[in-house]
Amino acid sequence: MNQRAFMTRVANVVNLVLFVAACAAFALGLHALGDRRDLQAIYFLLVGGIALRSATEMLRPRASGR
Amino acid sequence: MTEIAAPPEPLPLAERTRVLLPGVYAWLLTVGLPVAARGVRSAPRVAALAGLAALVTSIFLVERRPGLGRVLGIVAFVGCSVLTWALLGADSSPVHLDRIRTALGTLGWVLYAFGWGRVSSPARPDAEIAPGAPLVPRSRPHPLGVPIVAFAVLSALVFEALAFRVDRAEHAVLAHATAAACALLVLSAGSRVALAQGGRHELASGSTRLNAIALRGALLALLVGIGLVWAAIR
Repeated sequence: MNQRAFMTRVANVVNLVLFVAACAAFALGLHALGDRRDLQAIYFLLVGGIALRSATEMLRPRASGR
Repeated sequence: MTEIAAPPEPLPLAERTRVLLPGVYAWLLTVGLPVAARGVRSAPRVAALAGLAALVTSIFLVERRPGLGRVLGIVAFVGCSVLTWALLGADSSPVHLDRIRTALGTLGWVLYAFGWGRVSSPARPDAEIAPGAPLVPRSRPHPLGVPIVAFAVLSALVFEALAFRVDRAEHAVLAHATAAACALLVLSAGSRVALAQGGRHELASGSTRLNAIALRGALLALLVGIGLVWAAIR
């Protein structure tokens, strides 16, 4: 496996990990809201939002050269 | 010579069941049980029974008078249900509702809507969306694609279910709005992540993609660190 393919695989794994982390953080945030732990809920929802934004940021298409 | 118009085909039993069963199920959980409680006045009960009668009548009318059937089955049924909830007043607030029953009732309303969608637009065997040979996909999806989409759908359902745990009235509205927003975001992102598996040519190189999230990754690491310290202190 050359380095380019290896980095693509690493990027895919990081992308997947960020997506799963975002889902888990959202679930923990809503769970905390149900338990009246508002500050924790805000914290988890914030973490989830940043993780999901990072995951989608990695999926931007390649910039087209002119 | 004039042709005699063929009588409308009777609605198959499966179609009737597909509309009637979820409707009755949703009505029973979210309308029927609240009005059956002790101490409820007669006005909500009458409205609830009128809604159920409208739904049952619509199933027998929809094949001969589709317009009237839909008005009874959708407008009258939903209208009577809303009227019942309005007449119930404080008894229908989230504090008095059973969460599991409410969640299952919501699922019943979703199935009811799908059932009417099927009746409103019956499948025509001769209809073709695009003429010609069936289109062939340009590439096969990655094996990880289906599990990722399934995980996203499951997560979205979990978010919706968790919102029902919030029992404070104002916070419950916020929780449902947040859960819906999170579910939509996760479904959208999940489909994109699933499509990106397998190294598509349209995406930038791996190192470029990793560099693109360097700043957000650092912020995320900082937040996780703060969270760990916070958990250790408490």
